[in-house]
Amino acid sequence: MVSLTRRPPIVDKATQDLLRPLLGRSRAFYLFAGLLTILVTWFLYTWYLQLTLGLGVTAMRTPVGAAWGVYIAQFVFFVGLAHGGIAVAAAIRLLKLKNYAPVGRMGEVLTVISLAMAGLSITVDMGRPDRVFNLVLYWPFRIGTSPLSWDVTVIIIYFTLSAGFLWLTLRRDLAELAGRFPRLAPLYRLLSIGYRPDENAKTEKMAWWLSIAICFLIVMLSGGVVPWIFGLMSSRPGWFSALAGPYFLTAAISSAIAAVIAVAAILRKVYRWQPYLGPQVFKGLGTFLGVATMFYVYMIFAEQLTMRYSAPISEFMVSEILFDGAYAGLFWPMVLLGFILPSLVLLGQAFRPKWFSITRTAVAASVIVVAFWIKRFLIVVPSLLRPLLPFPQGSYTPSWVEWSIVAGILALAVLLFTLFLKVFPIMEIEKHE
Amino acid sequence: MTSITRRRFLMYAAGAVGLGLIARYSGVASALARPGAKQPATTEGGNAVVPPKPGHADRKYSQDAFDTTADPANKFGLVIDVGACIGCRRCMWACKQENNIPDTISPLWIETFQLDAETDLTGHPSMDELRQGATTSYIESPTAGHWYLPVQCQHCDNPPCVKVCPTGATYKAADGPVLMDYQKCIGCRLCVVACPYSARRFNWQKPSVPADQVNPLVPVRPIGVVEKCTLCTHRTRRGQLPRCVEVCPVNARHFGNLNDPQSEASRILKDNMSFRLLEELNTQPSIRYITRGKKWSA
Amino acid sequence: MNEALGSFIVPPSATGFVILAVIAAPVAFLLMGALFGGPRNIRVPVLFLGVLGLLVSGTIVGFAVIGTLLSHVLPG
Repeated sequence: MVSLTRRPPIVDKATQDLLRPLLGRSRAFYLFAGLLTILVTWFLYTWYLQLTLGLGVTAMRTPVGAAWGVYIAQFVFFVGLAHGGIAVAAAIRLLKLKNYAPVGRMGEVLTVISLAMAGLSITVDMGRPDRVFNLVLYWPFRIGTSPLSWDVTVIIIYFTLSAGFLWLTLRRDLAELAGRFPRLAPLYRLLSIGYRPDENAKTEKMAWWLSIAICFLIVMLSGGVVPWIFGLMSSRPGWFSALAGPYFLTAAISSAIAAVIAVAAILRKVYRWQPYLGPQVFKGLGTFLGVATMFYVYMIFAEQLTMRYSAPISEFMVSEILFDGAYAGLFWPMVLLGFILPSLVLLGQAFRPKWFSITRTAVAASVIVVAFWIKRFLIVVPSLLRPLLPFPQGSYTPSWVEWSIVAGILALAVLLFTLFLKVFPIMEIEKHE
Repeated sequence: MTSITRRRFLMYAAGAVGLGLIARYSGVASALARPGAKQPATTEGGNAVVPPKPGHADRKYSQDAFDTTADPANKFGLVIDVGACIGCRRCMWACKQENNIPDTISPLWIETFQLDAETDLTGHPSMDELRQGATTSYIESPTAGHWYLPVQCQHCDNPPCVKVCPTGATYKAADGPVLMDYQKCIGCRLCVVACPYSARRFNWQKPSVPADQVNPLVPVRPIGVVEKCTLCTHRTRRGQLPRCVEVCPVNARHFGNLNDPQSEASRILKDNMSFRLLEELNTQPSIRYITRGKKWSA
Repeated sequence: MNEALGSFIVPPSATGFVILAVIAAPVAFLLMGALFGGPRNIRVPVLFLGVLGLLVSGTIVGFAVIGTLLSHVLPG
């Protein structure tokens, strides 16, 4: 029987450093968490307003206008983000990339939180969120034809496996640290229930198998059921395309890797983890991000060419909205400054190692994340503004309610991540075999 | 691992399962027990009104609960004569009255385009109109050089909206029309997005119709659900015409059972070439357009 | 009555089942690999399945709970 003494186990300096977030809360932390809590409270209030007054408080309208807006854009954005984390964690295990191990867990946490926020974004967009259980109730009858049913199903599978994966890989650290943090010990012991050191080999093998499953689900989710909600709609020029799958998948992987880079860089700075998160991690991820983003620019080019060369007038008009119309002021800066410039910077760093800097990589990654948020918006809305029948051209500028809710959900994501940081070890403790 | 924690874990697990069962069934119960729609009364003309079918509570918001059953031998369709249509929109307003459409639903279930008759005689919108859109909010009609195209739910035989609905709230009735069960609708608007005719409307606010204007034969919708033309099944299944067909002053609308070669719609289609909107999308609409009779000219 | 176009192998109303099968089958296979592959261990796979079960049922219960809560907020 393991002895339940209060004496903390002897830890080396490395472990002490990695546990820094758990060891105390600074004023900066309280300020930060406080600000986020205010944003989240404001989000809850505006959501309450929206529930009682109806979705009319948004700028969404139909048929002249956009039936979907920033909420759905944010949903797609969060589903995409949910891939990077777990993709890195999976790659570490499958390709034996030991160097990237430090960012593995923060990626997994990013995944689980992003998926939850994706679900919240969808719920906020529903006219009758009180009937969300109908999705379950009528599932057997609708799973044959409804892309939304497919979506809900695959997201639940993906969330379950990702959360399970996180739990599996967290157990060992929790079991070993339970003695060190008496206040958290009950939680740690519950989550690491049944842990015995001889299970580590099995856990590693399980994580390996699950990594493959999760990578496969990434393709089927962000390159599958989510884009098919758009790509299968022959009613919407601009959406209706076989490219939707690979398009969304590339966007997901790119934005997610960018988010991992940004988060890792921030944590490294805040908790002084320079010795543990060396430049190799950022170099590798940065190069990958540069290539992926440039590949995405190629896809934008291919898509717009197809919509303009000899296309039906409906497709052409949707492209015009981006090139020359209401959203040109968003589209061009996004492509040039949000995608091309940062990816050139990242690729330049890859070709000339002398130019490399973690800060520059993190800044480029952050710009790319924001650019991808804008891109999701530009995927969802323009096609809805130009229906097939000659309705007058609509417009869509999100209302203050929508901005409040969007900001609030983002704040909630950051808040949850920060809380996780403070309760669980975000970096894997070095194993003493 | 201590036995204390194992016991606690099992307690948590049992509690979670119990809570799960309670929440599941209470959730379903509350989803089904909606505050009631208006109970029907007799109409002013003294026609006996068929009360909603008793039974399953969630049928309260389905058109089927207010009507006789759909007869699968029927296949209701509409023929609209755009040669005769003068764009007066009487059909639109009568539909609003008949179907309890609140002021918060705009545009209404029927939308009429004013299209340019000078450049395109194919019965389709011109390139410029497809580029920039055409007006649906013209003031005067008919005006020279224009033709009018009323569009509403096309009651497709291969409806994209029915396919994508995650709860089955919209469905194809056995006698042709695509209908709504407002009880099941979760307001996701995937059907709105899937419809190539942009025919579906959404209750962005809580609809309210003054009590003295409510038609008791038609459910008043709740907030946050999708609605659209129902081809007036509450009338057509009792042998009446849809309201829009009834009020058209120039006889531009024709209704009938397309399975019955003697019905008005079938007879007109036999004598006239007709077209359907966005035919190439393979939605198989039940509404056909003809251009017989004189085209309006100033 | 015009029939919707669809291949005779996969009628349109069954498209979702094909998609789900394509997705679920490999995932199920890989999950089996995770549970049974590698060093022999009963406890961890059982615990893992338990956690998966908890998560799925928690999600579904969560839908019902959220729905019930929100039904008190929405105006009918």
